[in-house]
Amino acid sequence: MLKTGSKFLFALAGFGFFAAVVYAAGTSHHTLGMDAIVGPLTFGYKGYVGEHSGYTILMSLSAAALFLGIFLSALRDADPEAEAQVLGLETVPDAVVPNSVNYWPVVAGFSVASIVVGLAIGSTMFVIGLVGLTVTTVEWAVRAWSDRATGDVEVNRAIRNRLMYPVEIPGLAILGVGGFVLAISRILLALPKLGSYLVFGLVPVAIMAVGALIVLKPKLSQSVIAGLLLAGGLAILAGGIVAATAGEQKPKEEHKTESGSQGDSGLRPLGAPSAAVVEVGHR
Amino acid sequence: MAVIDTPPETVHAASESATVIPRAQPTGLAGVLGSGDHKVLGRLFIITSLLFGLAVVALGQGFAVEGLAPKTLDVFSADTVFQFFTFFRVATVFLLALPLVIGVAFVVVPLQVGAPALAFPRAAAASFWGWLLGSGLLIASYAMNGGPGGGSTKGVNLWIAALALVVGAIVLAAVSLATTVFALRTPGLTLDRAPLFAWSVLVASIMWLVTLPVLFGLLVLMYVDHRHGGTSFGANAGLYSRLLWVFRNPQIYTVAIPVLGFAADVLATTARTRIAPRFAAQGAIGAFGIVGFGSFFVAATPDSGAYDAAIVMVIGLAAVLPVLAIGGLAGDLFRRGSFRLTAGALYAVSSVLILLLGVAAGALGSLPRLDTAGTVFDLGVTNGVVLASIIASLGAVHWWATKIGRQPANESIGRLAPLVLLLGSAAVVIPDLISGLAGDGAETRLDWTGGIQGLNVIVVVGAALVGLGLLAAMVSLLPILKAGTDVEADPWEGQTLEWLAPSPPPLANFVAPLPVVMSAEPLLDLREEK
Amino acid sequence: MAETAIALPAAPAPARPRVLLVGTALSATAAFMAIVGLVGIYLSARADVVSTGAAWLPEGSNIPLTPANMAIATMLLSAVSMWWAVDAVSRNDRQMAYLALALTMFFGIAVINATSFLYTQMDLAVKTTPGVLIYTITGAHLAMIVVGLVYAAVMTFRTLGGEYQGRDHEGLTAAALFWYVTIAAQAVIWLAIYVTK
Repeated sequence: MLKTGSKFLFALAGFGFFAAVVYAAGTSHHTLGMDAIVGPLTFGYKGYVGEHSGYTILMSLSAAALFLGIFLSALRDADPEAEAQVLGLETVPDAVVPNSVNYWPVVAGFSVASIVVGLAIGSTMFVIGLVGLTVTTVEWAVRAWSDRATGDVEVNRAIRNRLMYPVEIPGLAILGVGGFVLAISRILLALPKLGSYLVFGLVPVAIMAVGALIVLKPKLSQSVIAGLLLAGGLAILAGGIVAATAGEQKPKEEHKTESGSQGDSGLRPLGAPSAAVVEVGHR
Repeated sequence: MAVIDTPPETVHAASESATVIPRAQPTGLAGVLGSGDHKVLGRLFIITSLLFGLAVVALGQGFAVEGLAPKTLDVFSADTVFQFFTFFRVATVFLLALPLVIGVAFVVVPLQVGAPALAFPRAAAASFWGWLLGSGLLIASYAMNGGPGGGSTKGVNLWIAALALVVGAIVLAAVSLATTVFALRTPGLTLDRAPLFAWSVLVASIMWLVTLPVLFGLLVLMYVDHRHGGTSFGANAGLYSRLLWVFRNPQIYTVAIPVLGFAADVLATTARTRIAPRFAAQGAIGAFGIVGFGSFFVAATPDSGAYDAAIVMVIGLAAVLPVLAIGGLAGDLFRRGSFRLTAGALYAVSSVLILLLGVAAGALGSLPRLDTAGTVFDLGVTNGVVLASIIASLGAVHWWATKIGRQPANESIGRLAPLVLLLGSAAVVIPDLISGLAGDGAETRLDWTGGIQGLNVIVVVGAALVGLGLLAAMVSLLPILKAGTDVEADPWEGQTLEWLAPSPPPLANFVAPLPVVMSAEPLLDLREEK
Repeated sequence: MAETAIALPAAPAPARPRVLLVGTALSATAAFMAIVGLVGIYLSARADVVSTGAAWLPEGSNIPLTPANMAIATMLLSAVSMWWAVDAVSRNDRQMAYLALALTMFFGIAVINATSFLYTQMDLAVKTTPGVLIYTITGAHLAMIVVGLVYAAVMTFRTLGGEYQGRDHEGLTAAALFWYVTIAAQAVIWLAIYVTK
């Protein structure tokens, strides 16, 4: 028997199909006849199909909703009783409560944001984002697996750490030390002689000071660390944007009426809902 | 041999379990950043979207003021007005209305279906952070002179990519919400017994999942094109017109689907009776979702006859029926039940009335003879539907204040806010509809000089009232931020499972195992049994 | 000593079934809609150009069918290998499951290779409207393939970790479901772009 969720999806599929046929027939600019009906029914193989994109999307909606409807029918709408049957239990187990902190979603967010900035601005941010996303994928996958390794949260944590520390610690060390050395070398190259002497002398002192601070106060509040990392992530994104704005040597000015050449094969601009720009200056 | 089947290390670790010191769960910023709790994520969505909302309303007010005397009043300079306008349209939907609905749904839906968490809680967290950072980058792109009509190539590229990130994050949130309603229901709670708000969120999520990816694909296409010279999309100036389908009917209706679920749930509870026939309410919400499918307009042009197609008119007219059906069912509730005047009920009625105005106008606009396409009439329809969604979301925060926040919201200010919002919304929407019908104020013509100037005075008053209403609603919600003592679990004599959870709900939502649900109104059953 | 040796941690509570499957079905549908939305724009743009009597592809450009046929055939083969992996895990035949998953990944990478080879053969500039559309659509589908491969790899890792086996192989089934939708999207692209041109 069809259940409520599946019924909705089948109705959506039916709507998609009906709308696709009527839309394709209605926009075909031909006299409404058999060809206008047969065209949409045969995916345009015989007869006419009017506006192609709308027809394709509506037909695809029909297919996608049909797929989901059949799928959910097979799962009996994923009803709790049907889920319990899968496990051979009397009642279905509760969903797992996310009772531990996990910063990977935030890292994933920053990584994707970095990719976005990189797509617009330059390859460095893109690479940073891609590396972040790859690391997140690996870490997230391991975390998801280890969280279900045993029923003991602390043992799961120990298992995860045993698997990942040998990778994470050297990796972080290489990234940290390498990045630091690279940054300092860039600064030293950019400075005059006296400045480089000063930096060369001050950097070890700063490292010593940070080390001493860590020794004196080994347990910093997690919120402080999280805040610092958050500020760092925002600084990277902001830095990328500022670099793009300030670093544009000769910004390419675009013209509002810019468009491609008309009429050449394959170079014709796509049709738009309105050929003109929306002007709201004189509301 | 599998890793987990290799016991020595595991046994070793377990045998030394005394040495594995349990970690204290972090609080404060660390707790928020690392949280997968649906209530924390929902609150984050609500707070941030409301903050963006204040900026959006201020911007709308700016446009309304400029419309008073377009020749002399220059609130926005001629160079930037188009960018401000596109930001206003994009932000209204993607930075305010949609995330506000999602925020409420994140908190309420798991509670309503008796789940201790959202499905894929970490993905839900990623959706919030992705949305927030995407929104920040979207604003930054305008600051770089980007966005549609912007002069900086990189700024325009950033705008496209940032909007794609925002859309992707919303799709991720929709996956989490839809899966929660489908697969995390408590025993006995079949979908036909699911609370109507949860059902409406399911319908909305599915519709977002089948329409917003089309927008995502379009943005990818626009990015590739713009990156390589912009020959296909008319460079920076042509970008916005490609997205107009997202902001017009029927697509804009998908933003307002939860309005119907919210209204049905709240009005049934305030009337202390069951909504009947229930399948009609569910069907109406489902039908409203289906007719909101608007992504088939993605590449439609006026020449293609797409806007005049018969199916568009049918969809436009059909969209009114579900809203009327919910209105009718609400009327029946008032007739049968013992109605209480609560802020939640006023929000519900206000949002349905404004939605009805929006969809009725949409139906009128879909009649080809009236020729309203591309005029401010469309703007009026969109504003009506989006405002209905915002009013309902604010009402939902008020109604579920003890679940979203820590104690009830201020009821007396809460009763004032929806009335002000109702008046303000009507004053914003109706003048644009009249101007559009009169053929004045074409939205997509270069020589557009706005709506009828006399009527624009009403728009200014309306925008001010909307701003005031939003502020009043936010003031009424201030108490929910403070910790309370002995906060009632069920202040409204609720009918659905969320009211069994303590206020505010603990991490796993419910302190005792839930009873097997036997009807759509399990708490009403319990009360009747007593 | 014996007491400490048997102090195994508690077994994990059974996971709520169907959650991953439903979530994957919804995500895969969303990805499919993104691809077909692009295909719709492609068909619309092509029809507009062809209706004026002009050629759709710029002069000198050509889309050879052979690599595209190879790609779709490989994808269809990968459907079989993916089904084989799920079946093997459900029979607790781990070796066969790993072999089948490795084959699926090999096929997926082969499709990426075939598509990139096709790019070198098309001689189509991105600046043209067909170029923008074809590269975006096929590129988006390549991204979908990569996601499908990563998903399958993650589930292989979890199967290797003992999480999925005969009775509970939902993770692998979910990865297979996503992969099948990826194949369906490839079929749409093959028909709309490579065959129709």
